[in-house]
Amino acid sequence: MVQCFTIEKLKQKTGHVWLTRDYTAERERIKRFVEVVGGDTPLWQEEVPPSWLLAISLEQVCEQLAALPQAALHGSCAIELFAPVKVGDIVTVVVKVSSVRERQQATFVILEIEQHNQSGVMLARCKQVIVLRSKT
Amino acid sequence: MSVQGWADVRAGQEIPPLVKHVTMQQVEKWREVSGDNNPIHYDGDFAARCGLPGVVVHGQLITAFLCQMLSHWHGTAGRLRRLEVAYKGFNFPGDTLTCCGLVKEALLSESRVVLAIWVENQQGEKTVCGSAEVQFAPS
Repeated sequence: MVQCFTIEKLKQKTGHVWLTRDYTAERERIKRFVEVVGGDTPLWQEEVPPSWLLAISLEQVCEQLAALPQAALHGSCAIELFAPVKVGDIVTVVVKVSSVRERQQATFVILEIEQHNQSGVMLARCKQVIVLRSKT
Repeated sequence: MSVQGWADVRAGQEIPPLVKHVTMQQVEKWREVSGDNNPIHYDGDFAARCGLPGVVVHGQLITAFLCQMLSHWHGTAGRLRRLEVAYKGFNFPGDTLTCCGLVKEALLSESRVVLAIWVENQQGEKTVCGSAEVQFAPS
């Protein structure tokens, strides 16, 4: 369930875990994901594409940001990959708020996301920068 | 076409571009598989209130195109280790996007390459820019 929150509440999360969720890399789910991107490579039949890890790094964040009165734009993203993710793996996504900085026209939210598998192996580390702008 | 291995890789090499014509239907499908339901991606009025000229394509879909371009290139011979991009401009449904990459450094001792990667729209504007690292097995 999406909790109503504000930028002030988000600031209070700085340095702390904000969101966590487990995702199962089900075969059909990954197949559908690859189809939507338009992939035709056999690489992603038994293994999960890195772009899926980027997508799940942001899903919970998108749900939460929808409750804000500001518009959320994507500023940048980065991912470091440490181990392959196999179809069937369970990926735990942990989102931490690194910083929330207000500027004249916008607020910049920097998130650090870690992803582990069901054995506790670190799979990936992501950084996402979200820009919040006032709506007219 | 994929490289066969580390021996095929050199600094200055352009990797085969990937051209994508992004449709509104693809944007809607991306919403479904990514869970990103931000209205700037489907509601024109909402996008206008945010100061945008129209609904915009998800940045992460464009990044997925770049990942696809890289995986076509490295195939089973390499593995993506790092990728970072900044979204410099907006992309819109109907755009024709060209994903590009150039090998900037080939680190012989580590069998690893650093690439510049970017996306150009049909006007030749770079809307997404970044870098990536791909690890190869030593030859």
